[in-house]
Amino acid sequence: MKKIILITLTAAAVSLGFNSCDLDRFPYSEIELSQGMQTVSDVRKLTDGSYSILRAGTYGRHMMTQDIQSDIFHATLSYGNRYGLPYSWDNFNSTDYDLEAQWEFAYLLITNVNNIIANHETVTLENESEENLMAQYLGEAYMMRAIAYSRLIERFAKDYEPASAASDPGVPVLLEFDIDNKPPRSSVQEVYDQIFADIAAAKAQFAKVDWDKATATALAGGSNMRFTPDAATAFEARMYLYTHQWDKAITAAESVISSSKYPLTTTEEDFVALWVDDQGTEIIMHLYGDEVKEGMNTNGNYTSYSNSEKTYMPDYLPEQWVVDLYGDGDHRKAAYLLNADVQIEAAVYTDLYVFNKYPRTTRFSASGDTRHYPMLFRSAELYLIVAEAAVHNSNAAGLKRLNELRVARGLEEISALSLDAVKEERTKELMGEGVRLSDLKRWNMPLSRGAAQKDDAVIPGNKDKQVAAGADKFVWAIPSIDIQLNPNLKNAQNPGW
Amino acid sequence: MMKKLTYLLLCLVMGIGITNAQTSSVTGTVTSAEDGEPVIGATVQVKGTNTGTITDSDGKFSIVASTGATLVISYLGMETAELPARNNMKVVLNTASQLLDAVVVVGYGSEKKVGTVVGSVAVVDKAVIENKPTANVFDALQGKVAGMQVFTSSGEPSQVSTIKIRGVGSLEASTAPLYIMDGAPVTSSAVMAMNASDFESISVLKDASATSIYGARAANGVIVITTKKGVRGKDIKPTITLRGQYTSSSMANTEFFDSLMSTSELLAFWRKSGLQSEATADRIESTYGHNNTNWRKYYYKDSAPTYETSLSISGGNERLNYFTSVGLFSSEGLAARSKYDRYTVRANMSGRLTDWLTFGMNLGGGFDESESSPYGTNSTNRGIAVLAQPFYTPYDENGEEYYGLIPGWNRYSTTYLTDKNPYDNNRITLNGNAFLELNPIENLKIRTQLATDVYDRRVTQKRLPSYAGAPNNGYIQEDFYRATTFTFTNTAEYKWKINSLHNFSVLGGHEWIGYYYSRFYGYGEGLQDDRLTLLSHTTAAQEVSSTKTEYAYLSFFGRAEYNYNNRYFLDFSLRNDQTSRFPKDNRSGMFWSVGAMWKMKEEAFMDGVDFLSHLDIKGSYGTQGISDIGDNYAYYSLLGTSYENYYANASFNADYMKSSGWAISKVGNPYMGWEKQALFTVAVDAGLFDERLKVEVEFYNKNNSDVLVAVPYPYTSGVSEVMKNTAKLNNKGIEVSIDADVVKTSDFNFSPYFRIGYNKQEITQLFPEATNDGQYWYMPNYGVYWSVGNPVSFAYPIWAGVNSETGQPQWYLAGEDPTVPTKDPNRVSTSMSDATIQNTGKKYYAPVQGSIGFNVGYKGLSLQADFTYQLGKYLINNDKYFFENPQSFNGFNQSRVVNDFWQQPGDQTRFPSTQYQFTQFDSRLIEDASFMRLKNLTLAYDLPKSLLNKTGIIRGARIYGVARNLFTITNYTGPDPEVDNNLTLGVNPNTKQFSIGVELTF
Repeated sequence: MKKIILITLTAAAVSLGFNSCDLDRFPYSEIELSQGMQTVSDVRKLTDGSYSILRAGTYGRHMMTQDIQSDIFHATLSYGNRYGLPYSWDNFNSTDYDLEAQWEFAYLLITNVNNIIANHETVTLENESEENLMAQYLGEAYMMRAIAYSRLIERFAKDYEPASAASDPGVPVLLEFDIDNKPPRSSVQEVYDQIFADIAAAKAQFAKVDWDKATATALAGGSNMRFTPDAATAFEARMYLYTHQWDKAITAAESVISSSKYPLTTTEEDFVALWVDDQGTEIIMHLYGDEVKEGMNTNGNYTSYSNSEKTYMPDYLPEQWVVDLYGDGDHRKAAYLLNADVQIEAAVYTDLYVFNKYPRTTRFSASGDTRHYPMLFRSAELYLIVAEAAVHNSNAAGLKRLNELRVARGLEEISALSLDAVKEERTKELMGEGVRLSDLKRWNMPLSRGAAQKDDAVIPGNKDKQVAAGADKFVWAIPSIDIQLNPNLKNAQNPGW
Repeated sequence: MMKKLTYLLLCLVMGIGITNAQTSSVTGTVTSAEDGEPVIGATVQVKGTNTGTITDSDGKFSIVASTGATLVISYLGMETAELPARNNMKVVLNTASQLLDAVVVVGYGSEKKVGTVVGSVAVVDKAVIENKPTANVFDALQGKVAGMQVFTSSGEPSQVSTIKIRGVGSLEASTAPLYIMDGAPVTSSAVMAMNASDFESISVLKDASATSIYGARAANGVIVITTKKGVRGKDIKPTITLRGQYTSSSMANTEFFDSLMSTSELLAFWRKSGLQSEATADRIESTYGHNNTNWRKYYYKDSAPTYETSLSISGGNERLNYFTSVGLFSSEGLAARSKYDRYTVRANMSGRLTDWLTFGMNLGGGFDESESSPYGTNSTNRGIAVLAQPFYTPYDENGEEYYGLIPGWNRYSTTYLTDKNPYDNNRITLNGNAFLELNPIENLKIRTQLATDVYDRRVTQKRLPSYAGAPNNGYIQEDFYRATTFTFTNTAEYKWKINSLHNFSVLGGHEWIGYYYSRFYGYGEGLQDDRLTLLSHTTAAQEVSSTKTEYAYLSFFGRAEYNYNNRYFLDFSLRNDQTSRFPKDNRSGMFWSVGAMWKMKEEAFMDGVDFLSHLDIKGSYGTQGISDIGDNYAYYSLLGTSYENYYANASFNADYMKSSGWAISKVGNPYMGWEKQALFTVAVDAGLFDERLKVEVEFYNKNNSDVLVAVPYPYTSGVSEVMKNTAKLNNKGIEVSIDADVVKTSDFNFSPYFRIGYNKQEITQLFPEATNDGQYWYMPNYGVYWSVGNPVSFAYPIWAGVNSETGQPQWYLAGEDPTVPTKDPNRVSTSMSDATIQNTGKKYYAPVQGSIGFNVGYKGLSLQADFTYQLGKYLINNDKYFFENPQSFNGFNQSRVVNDFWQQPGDQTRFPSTQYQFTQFDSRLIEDASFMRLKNLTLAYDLPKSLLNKTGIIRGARIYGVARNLFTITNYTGPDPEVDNNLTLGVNPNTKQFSIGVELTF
């Protein structure tokens, strides 16, 4: 009898053990991907995460690499081989991380945004307010994807030529979240088509948004730090210009300019404030950052101020022609160039100009650094888009807007619109914003490094670099990791790498 | 005293016993066959009755028995004798050597004798692990088991060894074996937290028949540890053992440190090479030239002590047996602030409550504390501190150590540094199990056991505000860790015989394992006063963080064994494991094995073969799994509040505008599953010349498939790598163990032994995206090549010597196939470009290991010597990069070999001209780290029983001396060749120890 009792007890104990059968264990520090989109608030978090990736792919090596490769700068004796490979052209290769980083961050953004766009329908929307928010976040997602592809196509493919765009190789296009998808290069035309489709989708979503409510609830902290219909249109105008759609470029740019929400600054003080304080009416959109958890890349190699020596020790100095480009009354001279004590190795020069568009500030650090809110779209660019498009379709708005920009910057008007005049103004305005190499590509111009501000201060190698128009390395190599691991890219590397 | 007890017992017995037939007092003496000494405390029982007694201190007994009755005389460790009762009988008991060391627990179920186990099991006697001068019990196992490699990678007293059994069959997953203590899984650090004197035996299970029953965690072999339990029996006297041991440690090998230059040598080198100007050399000579500091002696003490003492009490009666112990271990290491203290306690007991119910409980608890330096291996404050120039000295004019900045060297004195930057670690460990065993009917045993392995660890790192390097800005970081493992096991075992020839045994079981881990830490800066250094006193940069992770296993298993007349053996096992680590569809794995053994010597036709005392031929084949992949959630795709970018290996916070953001932090593999292993073993185990010579030869072939590899992905996929089961590896090898009793008389013995294991590894498949159609893949951060058809090998540019005409350094250009080392003197490059990276052909894992040694004994004196060796081991000597590189480390001390550099055309030298960096990350750093160490030399003296009998209390006394790592033979030029890693830098090197101890048994 006792035996039976005890055997039963044991059997009971054993069966208790059998019940410990649930073997699903979820991590505590992260969320399983498929559980990540249940409410609108989740979508907000995913969109914010994508903004932070967008920010991480702006400024710093994502902007300086192409400007240093172009004809704006000379490498100083103290450049320490930083950005030395792109500066040299010949030694620039497909495993250089400065090149890979732009490809990598664009696709990181695309992957995250694809997840939002492809899977947002799993979210149930409870009320109108949520529908409002969802439309805004979706619109932002489409915009970010379009921007990512535009960055890729600008660096890694030839300039858009209507005749050959359908056959010129572009970049791989992915629209779904599937890591095993290893697509081949789509054509340049296909990539731009996708960009325009995404912009249209973004605008369609933005049309559903009640922007007054949005400003109050979702956009706390600055409406020009998130995408708005104006930002979408500004970006669209840029894309129209690059794809030779002159009329549409002018229409789009004009619609934003004539809304008068982003007037050009009129005084030198206000223009300088745009760059020093990241404040001003001209800003259509820039990205937030701070000193603790939301760091921003900086373009500090152009200044490199030393607190102990009280001198600037830049890695790169603007060439003499850049300095000469700005007349004394030009507001941009005060904002972009600084005549200060420059120390190169042991020598201190007092007559040199450093490129000071991204100046030192103490807003983020007591000892000062060059952090700034990365600029995405500003109205001056729209004026230039109108002018450049007008050269091709003889629209009167072109000369008008060009002169308005010139006058706002403290210059005299000109009497006739010409491509050269537009090129000069664009070069002056957007100097050091990462567009020079693309502009040379688009205008089919050669690269020609000119005289140095001071010969003794710059390294002799590649000081006078001359590169023919349309040379291979105007178009960057696809990173070698992708060539190795994507069978569809096996023989698809850009020529000359 | 003894006599009184005996008398009392007799009275009792007479009162109880039922007498029939003629009874009378029978007397006799019991002596031991081995040494002729009387056996004290042997049990003498009248067979079939409750009448019994024990022998006194002269081995004599007196018992009431009827003539013709059978007396059963037994004593632990001796063969029981059954003899007819006769007055004045002389009983001689033989030592049951087979019985004593041949009991082993394998894979659930009851104990077995080694000779009847089909699987490949190596039993390590407790004498091997006892009395060793380190806290790390595994160090003593080095070389003892053929096929098992044990590495102790540093001389830090809290260091745990790493173990590999039968080669490495995995690329990313863990290579550690499964540790089982008293039937439940534990970690190697839990074992280290226990007192080795509490262990009865360690068995190493190597082949499928023995390991497959552990299923998914058994692929790397199983190490089974059994703790001491005490003995059950009638009138067992409690045994009290008291042991004390004192050890002195010093550096095992100082050759590396002795190769550094003296003051005059360094100044002469600077003058000769021009790396420092004449003016500098002159200035230093005049100011500091009188100093010649041996920095090794400053950063590492000449010797450090260890104290150890333990007390254990074990005993039992017919119903209960127990073992309890307390231990204290306190040791210091040679580096500054290197300490390890451990307090252990254990209470094991089990009792037979009724005929059919047994219960038991084994509890071990430990508390250990360690202190170490916070500075790492690549710090000039510790790891590479001997870069310090010999003309600076840490002692002032009075010979006192500077307590602060050392002038010239410009670093803080090591005592000052470690005082001001303490790093303390303490841990509470609890390892326990409780079981219940039922015997409802004869031959059926049902057992249920619950085991837990818990530790709670706390790490405190501080920088005191009085530290001159960061005045008034101290910091504190407190880390709390807790890990708990629960194992719930239920088994039922049934044995039966047919015709006493056919023996069957079946076992069925169920097991559930749950693991819970959490970590929490707080950090803050801005401490202002040495007396207030809690987290609550921090004023800036405060941070909190936490982690939590879990996993679980659910398994069902069974085993069936059959033997015919103890001659032919067959066994079969099957196990199903499910784990939370893999996705639902791939969660379940089935593992099985089949084994057979033929005890050939039992055959009739072997009767005449007298020189063979036993000959067993056995083989097994089975499957196991590997599931220890480190990340418990590896298959999940995850969103997190931060994301990583590939090359920069940086983690980015995903917030935007101060609002929490999420980004894809990892893409998992929803098809991830077990790594599978199939192991085939065949062995011959022979005893010759009446067991005077024992030889075991084993051959194995291990195939690993579905091996996990972090498959790289192109940037377009948004993810850098995903773990996939795509690779295959093969390991085959041979193991030989030889034990001989060359001389064995009652007074003298000489017993040498030899072990060797050879393993050949080959990668048979990688992943389709690998280079050249899946043929090879280069891992730049580790300097390793994976290539199909080869073992895992080191890959670095191969040094081609210095060009004697130009003084330039040269490396061979890789050939068409970089997986084949190419050394064409006509194809060299003077710069270390990508085109020079190739397979060096040097294996990453050492193929040969083993030991050789002997035991010599004369009466009570015994000497045991163990030499262990590893051959074919290579190690990247990262220290060389620092000590043979005067350009990169200009101004620091260097090894004197740098004097051999090129100066003019025609010179044949080791190093290039001074305008080139002398040492780079190339094949010169990959050194042969094969070694042989005299791992153990123990001299022990057991006081003779005749002497001890006079005390009446002390039953055994032993005085012993142990030396560990007495000398090392190696060609490796760095501090320590035993490191188990691909590269070594700034290691706290292994120590050699001398210790003396006394062990008394009451």
